[in-house]
Amino acid sequence: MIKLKSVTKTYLSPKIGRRVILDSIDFEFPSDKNIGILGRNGAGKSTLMQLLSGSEMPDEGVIEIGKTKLSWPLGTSGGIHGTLTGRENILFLCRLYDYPFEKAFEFVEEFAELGDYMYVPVKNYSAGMKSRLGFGVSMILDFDTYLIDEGFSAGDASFRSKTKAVFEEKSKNSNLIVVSHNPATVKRLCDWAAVLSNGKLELYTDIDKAIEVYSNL
Amino acid sequence: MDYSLENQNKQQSYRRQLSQYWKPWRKAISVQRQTLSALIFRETKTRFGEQSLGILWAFGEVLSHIFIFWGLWTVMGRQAHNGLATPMFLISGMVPYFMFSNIFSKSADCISANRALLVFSQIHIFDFVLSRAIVELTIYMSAITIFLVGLYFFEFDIQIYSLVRVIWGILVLWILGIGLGLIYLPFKGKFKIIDTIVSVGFRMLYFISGAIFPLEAAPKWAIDYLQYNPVLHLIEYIRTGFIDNYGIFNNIEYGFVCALFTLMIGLILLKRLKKMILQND
Repeated sequence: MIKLKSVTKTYLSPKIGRRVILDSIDFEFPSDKNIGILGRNGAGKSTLMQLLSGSEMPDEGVIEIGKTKLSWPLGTSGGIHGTLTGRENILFLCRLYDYPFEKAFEFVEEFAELGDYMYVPVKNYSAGMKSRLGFGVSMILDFDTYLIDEGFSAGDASFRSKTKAVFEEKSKNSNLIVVSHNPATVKRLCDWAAVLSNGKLELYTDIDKAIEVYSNL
Repeated sequence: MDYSLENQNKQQSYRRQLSQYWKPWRKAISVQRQTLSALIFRETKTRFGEQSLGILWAFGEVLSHIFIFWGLWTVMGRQAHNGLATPMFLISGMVPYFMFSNIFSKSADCISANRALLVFSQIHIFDFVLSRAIVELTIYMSAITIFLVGLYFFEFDIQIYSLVRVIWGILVLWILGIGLGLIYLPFKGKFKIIDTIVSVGFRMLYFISGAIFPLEAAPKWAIDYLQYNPVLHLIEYIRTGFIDNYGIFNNIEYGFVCALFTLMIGLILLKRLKKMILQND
């Protein structure tokens, strides 16, 4: 169970002064539901992801992760290091999560379909290839909760359907937190949805209702 | 029969209790080990991976300084300092000093270089500092060994009085580097004046730490100040490992207390000013 307790985050920007991005948010992510978070550009979706993964700290309030095994934010580039090759990135992640490298490498090689690019520094990858690598490794590492940034916007259709199949199998033991500005992504992957706007996070158990609220923003 | 079974059960339950007690510790230690091994792998890859001669570059930098000052001392006609031959004197001072100053600057830089890795919830800022410091320690420990072996092959007289002193001195200097790096970490890039003071101070420290020339000959008033420099004490202590009774500033206890004290302050700042540290670019 991941809990946000009156979490406030502000950013100080030159000229426009201090902006409140998240305004004392109290929120609980139920551990058996896939939650989508809809928000427009700049609403604070990525900030929320960073707070959840611990790469930023809230100005006020606490985020309780408990014993949940939380993934890094998956998506375009999170957690993948540019100067290392694909193979070295897998080795890094395997060491970090104590997973046998050979097994992971075999799986990711097949899943991500990178071919010879496995031996090329990741900075030479396209956005889609990067996200395929990241997803590939995270699929095998078995997290309780997967953080997904902007869904599969970078992947092509065949990769999307492949990922969806794996996630459906995974959802028996794990769940997702997806942030996106695209209602279709949230609808495809999630059970419930929340809308992030003006620093507040509102949960809807009916996705269509959430999408309606979101599109009227 | 029954009795022995009961006894066995009892024993097993004790063992289970004990393992319950140790479990969180064991888990924490193994997570720490995994994290460090992953970070050290990445650190060596990024420090040396891009050029295949990266490791030679790290040695070459300190070696070039050693040769320059060896040349200078030779021109000035001085062969030895307190009984320590010039190349030995320079290697035993320069290599530890370079390690120390690299640890300091690399620890202070650790956020900007590793920002992408903060998304992994088990990695803490201290892991960045520790992994970088371990890599530097390995590099400069190998450097000092290789240089000394090199001198031996060129038929220099290598005397080592106490290897333990050399290693212990380098380790304390290592702790001091980490501590100072941690103290600077929250303030780096925030105030221009602090950055200037630190960079000027470090350049001065190179000359007042005894790495290049011995400082006993300094005037009395200067010695009164110099004796508060822990780096000087540690470098001279490392040299007492090569020749006993080297120098007048070789107080390892003072160096050790300074190192532990800075490390403690650094760790407190790390905990208290985490938010400020995360704002580093």
